[in-house]
Amino acid sequence: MGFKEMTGTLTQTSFWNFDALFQPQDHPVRDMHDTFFIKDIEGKLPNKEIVKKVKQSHETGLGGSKGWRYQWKEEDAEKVLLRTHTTCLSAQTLANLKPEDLPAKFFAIGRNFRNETVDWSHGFEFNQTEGIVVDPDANFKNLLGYLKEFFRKMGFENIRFSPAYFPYTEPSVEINVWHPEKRVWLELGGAGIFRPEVTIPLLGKPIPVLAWGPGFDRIIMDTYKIKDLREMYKNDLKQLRSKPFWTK
Amino acid sequence: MANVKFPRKEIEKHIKLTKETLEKIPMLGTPLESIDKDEIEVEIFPNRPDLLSMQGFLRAFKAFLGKDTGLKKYKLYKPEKNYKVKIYPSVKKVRPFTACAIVKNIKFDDKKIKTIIDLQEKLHSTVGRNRKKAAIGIYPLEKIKLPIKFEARKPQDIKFVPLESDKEMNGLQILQRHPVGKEYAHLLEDYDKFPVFVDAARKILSMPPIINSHETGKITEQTKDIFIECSGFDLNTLKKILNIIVTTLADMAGKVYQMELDYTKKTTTPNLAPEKMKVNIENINKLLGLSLKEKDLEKLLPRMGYEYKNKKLSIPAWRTDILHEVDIAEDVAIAYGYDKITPEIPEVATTGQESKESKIKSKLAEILTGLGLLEISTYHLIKADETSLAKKEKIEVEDSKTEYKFLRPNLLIPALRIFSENKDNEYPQKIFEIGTVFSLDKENKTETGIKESNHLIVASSPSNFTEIKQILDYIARMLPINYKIEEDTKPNLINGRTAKIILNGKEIGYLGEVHPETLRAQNIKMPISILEISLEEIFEKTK
Repeated sequence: MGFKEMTGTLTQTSFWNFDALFQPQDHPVRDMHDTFFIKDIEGKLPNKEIVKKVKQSHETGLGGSKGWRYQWKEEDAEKVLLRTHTTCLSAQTLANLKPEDLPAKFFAIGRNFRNETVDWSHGFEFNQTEGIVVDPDANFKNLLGYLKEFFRKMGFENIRFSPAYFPYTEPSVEINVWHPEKRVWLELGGAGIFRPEVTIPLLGKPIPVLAWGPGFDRIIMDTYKIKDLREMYKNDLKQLRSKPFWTK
Repeated sequence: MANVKFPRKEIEKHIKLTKETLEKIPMLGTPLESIDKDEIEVEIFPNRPDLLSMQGFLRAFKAFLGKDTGLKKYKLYKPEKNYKVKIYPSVKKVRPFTACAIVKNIKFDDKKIKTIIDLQEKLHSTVGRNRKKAAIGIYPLEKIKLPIKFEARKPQDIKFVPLESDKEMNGLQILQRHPVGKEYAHLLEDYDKFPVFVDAARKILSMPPIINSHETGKITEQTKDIFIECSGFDLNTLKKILNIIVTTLADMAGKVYQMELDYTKKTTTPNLAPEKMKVNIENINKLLGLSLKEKDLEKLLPRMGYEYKNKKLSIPAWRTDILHEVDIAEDVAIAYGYDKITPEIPEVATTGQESKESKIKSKLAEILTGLGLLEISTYHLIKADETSLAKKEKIEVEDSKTEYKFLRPNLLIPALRIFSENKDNEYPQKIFEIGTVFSLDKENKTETGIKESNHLIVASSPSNFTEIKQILDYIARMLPINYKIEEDTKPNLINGRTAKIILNGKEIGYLGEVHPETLRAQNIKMPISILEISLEEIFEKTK
């Protein structure tokens, strides 16, 4: 579909993982209970211009936004963590884009982390795939178009879109797939168009960025008929030997 | 995330829950989690705390379905005599703001008390950021003598019987002994004065954000009129939360009275005047990819609870989430129906490309699976007792909820764990993993202070040096790379059966046989030979 791969590190500063994505510093997800912060290490912030704009975006808003109206602190942005989503890679990619690179499309696949106990449906590591389309003419209709095609290629024909919420996208959308055996709509992941509060500091102006980042552990579980998420990370060699290759 | 349960019977007094209506619930942006004959459970996203009460949800859902559309109007009564709260400068540091109201004429019964307490709890845990940003207190008006003072006092000068207790305690004792006090002690313990609401009879009503007084701070089935306060750090948030509560109570037939707040400047709350915003229809159409006309917006926006006349939008005073025009655009899309928007991929030519790193990693995986090895994928975190297997510095995460607490410095540690966990499975066992390892960034090159490198480990059991060397030769031939080996000693490996691997004059890894002591410590009985290399040099040299 014409997407270029983005790569990046698993450890990140809070700046790229949260602040650049307009997640307010008092947001519960930025709490130790949900995110793995690294002990005793303080990170560094990128160039001053971006930091200044991100601060402004949070405090008073940019491009007609009211902002979150609180005092944004550099110390909070410097905290080092294990990334909670691959969307931080998108933020970094946007910050490095030049106007002549547009339109551009990128993807990433990678491991993410959350501070959680382990049970059949949760773990502290999970896999995510990420896609962005940076295009001055892109719109919500196009986002749904890309999503439909992407999931069709992943083997999901019968999908549905419903409203969702993420701090960094508006409009936001949830992708559901019809599970014919369980006869319910399952969540496949989220998507949206980056808010101007995100794009203005990173791109200099509010260019639409279509973005999606569905987890795919559930897709793998479904294909391999794995009932318990723990099995995916168990590396039971007997089981691994018996699994066929991914052919979808 | 907040899931809320509403009594099905109450909902059905307003809306018949047919199959079609149920399908509409998630399309409002409130996923339907479950439904049975008694209850309906929906998820409320953090941007819509105004939907946390059944009344708020019904207000929005009815409008969405086309019933009672537009901006809902509520009558506010002017403050009566002594409907006043004086805010003293002493609260400035510890909890500077409050927004207050009086609501009369509610016939509280079990259900209504539950509704209002549920709403209070949900608001605390969501927009209230666990009472840090905002805390709500609700008091029976008949127990209170107006006007009210909001001030801060030394903890030992605060004495009252807190809720769920029969003993008088002072401010510190509440934080130390009372279960709720202990839970929220972190919100006050660093201050030398704690905030209190005090009535005209000098009785303490509460010590926010911790707890109300047992005497004046508990609503019962005898309660008809109430005093409500929200206290916290951002007056604007407090006002919105107060609006969410009073409109819920107004929907329960309560009469909402304003109160006069005396900061250095006087102000009245609640205030339900809608916020105005100009809407540019071109921006909305461009963002959504639709071609709506003014007439369409006049139909769609009222179905999301707005009033839209002559290109002017009035935003309900209980909406906390409207920061920008894009927020309006999303509501237009929701009213239009996500299911009615036709997905469309534009013709934009861009070239796809996998990263060089991914290509090499896939190639390696292909080579090794071709040799009959199994690819494993392990956690990036290791257990505390496993860190002794590496001589390197430790990088620890804070407050892990599992026994996995440290970033892995190599792939040997997880590989040995996998062998140990598979010791009852069939042998030979030949595995490999390609993954990230972590060390401190001594060259000060990274923003995070941590250096990450891609490693490859190949391990085989039972096996020896010669066999693992053959695998290395095969990989080198296929990539192709030109490596050298030199005898070496390494922790966890047998002396004389260990070598380092050199590529372009740089040491990129090692191979050898795992030391019997290391195996014993992991409860492994079969010999293992192993090779681990960093892929960074290979990434660099391979075109």
